Amino acid sequence: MWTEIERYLPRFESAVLNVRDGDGYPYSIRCRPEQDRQAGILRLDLAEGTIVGLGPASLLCHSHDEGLWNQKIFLLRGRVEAEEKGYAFRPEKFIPSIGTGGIRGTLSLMTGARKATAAYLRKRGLDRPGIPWTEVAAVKKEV
Amino acid sequence: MVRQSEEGSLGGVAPRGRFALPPGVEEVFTEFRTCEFSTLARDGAPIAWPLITLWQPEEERFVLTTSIGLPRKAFNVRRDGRVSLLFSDPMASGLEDPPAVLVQGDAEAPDEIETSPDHLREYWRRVFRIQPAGKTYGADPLTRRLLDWYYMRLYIYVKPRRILVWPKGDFTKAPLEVGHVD
Repeated sequence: MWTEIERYLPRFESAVLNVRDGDGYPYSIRCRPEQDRQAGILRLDLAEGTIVGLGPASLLCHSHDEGLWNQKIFLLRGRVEAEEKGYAFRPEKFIPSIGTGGIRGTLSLMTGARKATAAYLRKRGLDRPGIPWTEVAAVKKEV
Repeated sequence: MVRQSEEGSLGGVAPRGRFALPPGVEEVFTEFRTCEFSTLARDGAPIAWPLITLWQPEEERFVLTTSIGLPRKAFNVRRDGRVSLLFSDPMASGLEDPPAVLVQGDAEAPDEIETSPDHLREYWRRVFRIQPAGKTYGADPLTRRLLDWYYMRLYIYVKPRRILVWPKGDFTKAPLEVGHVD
C-alpha cells in the first residue's frame, strides 16, 4: 500500500479528507497530507482550530483535464487519529481507480462493473435492459 | 470552526428558497465539473468519489447518478441517507478565485434503473457538454456491447441541510455557514 501511496500521492497538489461531523454527516475538507511512512501515517495540515471526528475516514485524490477527461483517481481508506499537534490519517487500504491502476486496473474496473451489473439485475430478477441508443445519440447531438 | 456569513461578504446575498445562497456559490454548483460526493459505508466510514452533479434550484436539490455497475454509492444512501458534496476543484470551471463549498444533506436513491437520457435530459446534456469525449460511450457497436452498463443508471437526489463556504477556496481559514434548514 505504501508503495502506491509514495507513487501516486505526490502527483496531486492536495487531497480531500472525508470524516464525519458531530451529527454523523460526512464532512470533507481539502488538505495537503505529508507522508511519514515510518510512523505509518499522513500528517494533515488542517486550519488552526479545525476539529474533525476521529475514527473511520478516507482520503480522495483526483484530477482531470479541461474536458473532464484523463482522470486520475484513487482513494485511501483508513482512520483519523489525534496527534500532539493536530491530526493524522492512518491509511489502511489503497483503492485504485481510473488512471491509477494501470491497464490491469482499468480492465478490472470494467469487468467488475459488468459483474456488478449482472449481479444487480439477477438479484432483482430483471432481464438486462436495452439502451435506447437513438435517444442517447439525440442528446449528444444537442451539445 | 464555522463563522456565520455576513451579508455582502461573498458578493451579496440572493435569497432563494430556504437558503440564502450567495451568487458565487450557485455558480460553483453549476460550473464546477465535479464534486466530491461522500456516502457512508457499512462500517460508518465516509467514502468520497468525484461525481458530476446537477443543481436544480427550483427543487432546491442536487441530482447525481451512478451506474448499476458501480452501485455502492446508491447502496450506502439506501442504508444511510446522510451525504455530503464538496465543491473544491475549480478545474475547467472558468471561475476566478471561486469559493469552495461543502453541502451536507439527505439523499434518496430509488431502486429504479433508468436507461433513457430522457429521464433527465438536463443532466445528460450537462454530462456531454462538460465531458465531450464521453460521447464515445455507445457511439459504435463495440462500445454499445461493452459499455451498455454505463447507461443503466440509478438516480440520487440530495436535499441540502447545511452549506459551508470557504471564500476563494482557502481551507486554511474556518468556513462561513451561509444558511441551513432550522
